[in-house]
Amino acid sequence: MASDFRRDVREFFQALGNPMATLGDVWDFLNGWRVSRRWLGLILLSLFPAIFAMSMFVLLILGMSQGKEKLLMRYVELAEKEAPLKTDALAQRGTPEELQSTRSGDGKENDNALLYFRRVLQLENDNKRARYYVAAQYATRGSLAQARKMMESLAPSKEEGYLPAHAWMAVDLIQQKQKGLPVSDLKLRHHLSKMAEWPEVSPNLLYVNAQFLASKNEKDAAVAMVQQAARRDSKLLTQAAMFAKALENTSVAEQLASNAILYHQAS
Amino acid sequence: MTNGKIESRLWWIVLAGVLPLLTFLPVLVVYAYGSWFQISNRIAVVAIPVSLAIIIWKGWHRGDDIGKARQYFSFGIWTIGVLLAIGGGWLASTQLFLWGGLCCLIAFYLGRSSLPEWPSILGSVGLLGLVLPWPFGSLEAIADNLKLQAAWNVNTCLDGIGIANLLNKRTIELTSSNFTVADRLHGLDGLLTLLFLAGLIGLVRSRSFSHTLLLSIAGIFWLVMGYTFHGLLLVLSTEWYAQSYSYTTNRYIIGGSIFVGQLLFMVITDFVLARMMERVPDEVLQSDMAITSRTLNGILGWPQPVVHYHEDLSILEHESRYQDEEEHEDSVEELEEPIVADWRWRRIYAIAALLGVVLLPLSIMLTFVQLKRERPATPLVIDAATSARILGIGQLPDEIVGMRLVDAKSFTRPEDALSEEAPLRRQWRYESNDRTATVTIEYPVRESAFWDMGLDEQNWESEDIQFSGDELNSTRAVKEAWSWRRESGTSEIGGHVYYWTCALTDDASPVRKRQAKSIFGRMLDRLNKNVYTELLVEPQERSIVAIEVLFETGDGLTRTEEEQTLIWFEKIRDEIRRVLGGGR
Repeated sequence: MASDFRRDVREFFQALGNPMATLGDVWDFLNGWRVSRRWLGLILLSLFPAIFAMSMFVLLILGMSQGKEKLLMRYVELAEKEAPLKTDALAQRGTPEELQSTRSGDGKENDNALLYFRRVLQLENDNKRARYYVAAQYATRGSLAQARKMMESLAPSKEEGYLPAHAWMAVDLIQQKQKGLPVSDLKLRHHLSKMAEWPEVSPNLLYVNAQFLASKNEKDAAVAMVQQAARRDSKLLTQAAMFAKALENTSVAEQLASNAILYHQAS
Repeated sequence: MTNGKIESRLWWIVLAGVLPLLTFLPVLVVYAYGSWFQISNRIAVVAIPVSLAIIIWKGWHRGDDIGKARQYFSFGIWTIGVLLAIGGGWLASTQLFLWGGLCCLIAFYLGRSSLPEWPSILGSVGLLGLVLPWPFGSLEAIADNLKLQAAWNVNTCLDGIGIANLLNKRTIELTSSNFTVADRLHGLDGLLTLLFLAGLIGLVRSRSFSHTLLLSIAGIFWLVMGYTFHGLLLVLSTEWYAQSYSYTTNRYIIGGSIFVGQLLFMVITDFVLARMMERVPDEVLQSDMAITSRTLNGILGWPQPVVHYHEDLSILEHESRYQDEEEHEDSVEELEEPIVADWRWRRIYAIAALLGVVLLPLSIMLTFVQLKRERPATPLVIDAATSARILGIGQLPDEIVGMRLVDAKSFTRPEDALSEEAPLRRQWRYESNDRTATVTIEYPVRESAFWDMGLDEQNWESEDIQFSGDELNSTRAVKEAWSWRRESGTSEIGGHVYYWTCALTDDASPVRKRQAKSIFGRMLDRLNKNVYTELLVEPQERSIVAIEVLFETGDGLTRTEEEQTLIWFEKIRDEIRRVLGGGR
């Protein structure tokens, strides 16, 4: 035993002193290991588990090779196809009376679009469109407190944010006002003005904005807003003419009225 | 000594060793029938009968001598096992009973096998380590992370296939349905069973330490692959073939088949590893006896089997060592001789056999006593009429902490494919300007619904609330009391969320335990969707009644408001308790 140990220690130091010979020994060992295995049997034995593991790996590699950008594009495309911004409930909001009777963010529940947008958020957390849609869907499903938090982060009350979110906040504040709850006019004005800049906003909401401005005795701004609403939707021409007349802006009222006549004749 | 004599004595030894183990069978049968799907028991239910079978099989084969240290160690373990089993029977603790069984099994194997000493002892301690709880719940954490990894794998594979999906913590959401992938996998059971199997193979087949370690790693690998495959199968079957595997039976058949596949792969891996890790014979090495070759050979086969070469010898070594058949037979005879000659061990086996004969009827008796004793505490099965009465509990107030009642619904179990998972529930919905609250009574809720997710990583507060001190004065009352828990924090999408759970402390209900994992993840998922889904419910298994309250608010609740809120829940709880009668 002791002699074995002495021999091992001696050989160990010899190996340290001659690294090339040691490498040669390792190579010799690996070669011996290779020739002393029965490779065919081993391969046959491990065939089924190997095929199983390989198929799993292929799927995994396929998934990982998609990349974040590619996935993001795919999900944005799917989401936009399922729920384009133009058909958003808020963009298509009806008359002020309808607005009064409905809740903020009220729209059709769309599970598929919600799933796609949530995945978009998972891939890109600051995607405004996705956050907006998810928040609006939460509101639709009754989670108003959460929806408001999200919308506030998208549309701050003193800065410019995501325009559709400003529109949502404006409608929400109007509804709160209609319920008799205290609402800051400054906030409402900010959201309404930003809402008006949204190209897809519903003309009816512009009309609501005009009413708000009129109530604050800002007649010129109100008339300009109602003109903008009428330009976007000819059905509002008659209503807009009457609104302008009520604000004593005869020239605009006449122009809108003549346009309304032309529209009705054409239709 | 003739072969016939050797065989008859081996028979005697085998029977004497196995009899004490047989005493555990009644308990195992009860467990197999009643608790197959309960997390902590499957390892015992799976591993012990398998081990018994292997031991009996091994008993037919020859053994050889064992050293003094191992003899005493084996006897020590056997004594502990018997004491644990008797204690378990006395205290009606099946868990103790099973640990005792495992100890006896290991002791029996240690006392009989032809393994070198210290590796076997290490291996036995390793196997025992799988049954005992690990510090800081680390084994559970590993199992949970493996499941999460599998859920991520499924998510990635689905991306690769091109199926739109979303991985929300452990739920794969699809356009057609949702799958709580990580909850449908047998996490801890699978991990324990495969590690146990790796250890057992290592011991029984005299594998080296490095071999057993690699086999354990392979076990974890096959576990994750199996999970991934299982998850994919569940998702694809629904997405492509509109075929739901949510039926309990189907799910268990598929889960079971995959598990059997994993075990098969483990065995194949063992064979492959055994061939790959065989010593490189000196004949094929050019640098004969160089220290490098000896060291590398040592790593491959550490610790070196001492006397077991006649079974696991590579062909080359076999041929080189036993040049002719006669010499081979002589060597086998030499190996057999010591065990036959060592009659000191016969006494120990005789005592074991005697105890086995005594313990077997005692075990059967104790099992029945235990079953009878457990009956009131095991599954709280509420009949349809009582269930209807619970769900028919009267209306809650119209207004609570400034919120108006806007909706009240009763959900009955739909008669469709998912009916087995659908709980019966009643739900009230309150709303104010910036608050919403949902109060739900659900029945049945499986205990596992209260596990899985930890609060720590979410930075949420958790508080156990104890009401009505008088209920906690006696043991019986403690067992029958309701437990309360409040969890609160900021949701990931903003806003404060309060979540109260109130449930019957059915058996060792984890709701009461501070360290128990909560339902938080699933709750947050519900919160995000504002719908109640994905509670895994097994109507016939450990059913409990739960009241769940989800409270969303822009600003946090004041302490007074919290107390007001809790007063309603107490009222509901009292009504349910009245319906169930007394404590229940």
